[in-house]
Amino acid sequence: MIEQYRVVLRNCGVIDPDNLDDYIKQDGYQALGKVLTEMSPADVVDEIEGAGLRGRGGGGFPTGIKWKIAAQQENDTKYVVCNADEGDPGAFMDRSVIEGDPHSLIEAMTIAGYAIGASMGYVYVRAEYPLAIERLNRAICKAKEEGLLGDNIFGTDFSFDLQIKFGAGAFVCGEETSLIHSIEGYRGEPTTKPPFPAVEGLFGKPTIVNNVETFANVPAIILKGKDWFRSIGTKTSPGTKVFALAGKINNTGLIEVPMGTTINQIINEIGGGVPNGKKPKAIQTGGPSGGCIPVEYFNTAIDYESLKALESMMGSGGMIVLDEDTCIVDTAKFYLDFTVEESCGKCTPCRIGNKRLLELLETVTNGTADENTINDIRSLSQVIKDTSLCGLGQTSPNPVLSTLKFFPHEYKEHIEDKKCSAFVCKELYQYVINDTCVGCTLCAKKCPVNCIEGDKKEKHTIVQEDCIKCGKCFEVCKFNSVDRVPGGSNV
Amino acid sequence: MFKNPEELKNYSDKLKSEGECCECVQVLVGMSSCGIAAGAKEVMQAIQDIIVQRDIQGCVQVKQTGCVGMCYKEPTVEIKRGGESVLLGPVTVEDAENVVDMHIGNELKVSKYVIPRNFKSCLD
Repeated sequence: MIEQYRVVLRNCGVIDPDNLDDYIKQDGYQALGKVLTEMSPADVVDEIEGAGLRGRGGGGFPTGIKWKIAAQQENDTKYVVCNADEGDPGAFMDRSVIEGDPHSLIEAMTIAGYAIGASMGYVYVRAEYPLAIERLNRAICKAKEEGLLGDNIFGTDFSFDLQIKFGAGAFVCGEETSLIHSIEGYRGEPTTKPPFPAVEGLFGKPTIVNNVETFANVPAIILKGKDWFRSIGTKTSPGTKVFALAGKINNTGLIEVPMGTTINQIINEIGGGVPNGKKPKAIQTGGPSGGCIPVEYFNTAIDYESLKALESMMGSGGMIVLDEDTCIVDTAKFYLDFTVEESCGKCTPCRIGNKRLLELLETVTNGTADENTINDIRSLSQVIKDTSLCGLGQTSPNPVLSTLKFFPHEYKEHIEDKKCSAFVCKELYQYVINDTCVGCTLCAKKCPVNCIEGDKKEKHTIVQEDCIKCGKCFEVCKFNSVDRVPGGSNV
Repeated sequence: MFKNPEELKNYSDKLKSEGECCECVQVLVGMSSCGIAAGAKEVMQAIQDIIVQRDIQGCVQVKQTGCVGMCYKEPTVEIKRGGESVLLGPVTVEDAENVVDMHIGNELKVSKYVIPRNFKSCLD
């Protein structure tokens, strides 16, 4: 039985987030004390680099290298930015960390400020997280009162201040250049890299942008050392990862496991398996930038590289379990629909390409696709990947490409047989009443659009043109007289 | 106001050494957005009310905490006494009386509310 190991979530559910004493009792702010009195900024960067901490927001870029580049820039003003614009469907670890342990974020950002030579930090947090904002605000005020933030921290000549910026809910603002523009007061639209923010970022100054979860690791690394951190996880991805388990799984929630834990261990041992005796079909990781990993690969040990090899990605750690009742094409369509909604519209491949890709997928799910559709989907996806301006567009076809790779038979079934075996795509199946119908009229009474006809004690029929496929008749029939069969208007 | 890290360290050690006397009970209610959405605020109030009713408020402290990650068992309540602890959930307003009587009144470590703890922390 695999056990969770909590580094990032070490204080969540343990301390009162509004009580500084509780945090101090858990060795809080001691890492900051150690850094300011015993270590030089270069030592701190070396420690983080040596620990091999990688960005937990999804990309997996080595945090130490990012800090090193920013530290090397000669500039009297630099910034530390925390990306708490958590937007992936199903991910909520950043919210939990801020709500449950706000001081660890403050401590880590202050350490980062010391390491790169910054005296100002911004936390970019979604306005949809009012409780997180409230608690973080209180924590900042309290830390300032106690001399743990603000001018001359611990009586040294290092000063650092923090400010909270609210995101207005655009998914693209999780992309670092968009996020920076949003803080500056401009539209949240990306710009090309390089220059990377570590060289030229917020207000044109060297800026590091790190995720909440990345920061939450920092105090633990400083206190326990890089070797301790390297002893957890895998060689290329040390440490732990927080996953938000959602979808068709018994134990939904946040879990934290060492990197290298297998998908099976997470789903079956920690997650408690799939409910209602159903079989799992795949997991979706990485949100709209990731992909679906089929059940055959559930013995994969999770780290940045292994997920990438499976055409998915770590992302911020949302893990959505899909069971046998899920239609894979519909899932890909769902994520693409999300990207189309959230595309900022600045570059053409993302704005128009994704829209056209979504329309192609719609032809697959409504039965009007032809033999060329798959090729069109593939080539359009490749163009979007190659030519989009920012990470959002460059990764948006991933859910489509990964499902095409692992579930080609489902696409084929939709296109050639005009059939959706999961009975999700409404244009590809219909409800019919069979001869066992006794004419009890229950289905006709329950039908919300009154499309079931028939006299009492006579066999009923469904008027297909009016049926909205809500499935109410299928659910209520006590005689199993309603069948769900392939077929539909376009079939 | 902490003037240097030693002061902080000393204060932290002091907090660690006082606190847990073996009679005192700490009740931690998971009050992140997820817990509150599941009714944790009302549960916390109900537990406090029953503690006052039973007249045991002298040795019991009810506190809020963040999320332990067990969305499927929200609202969760942890009860700590003398270095030992038990995690309970889901605890509804109706369950509050039961929970106080079974787990605070007695030292019961087994009940239908107990969730097996399947995680370790780097601070343990």
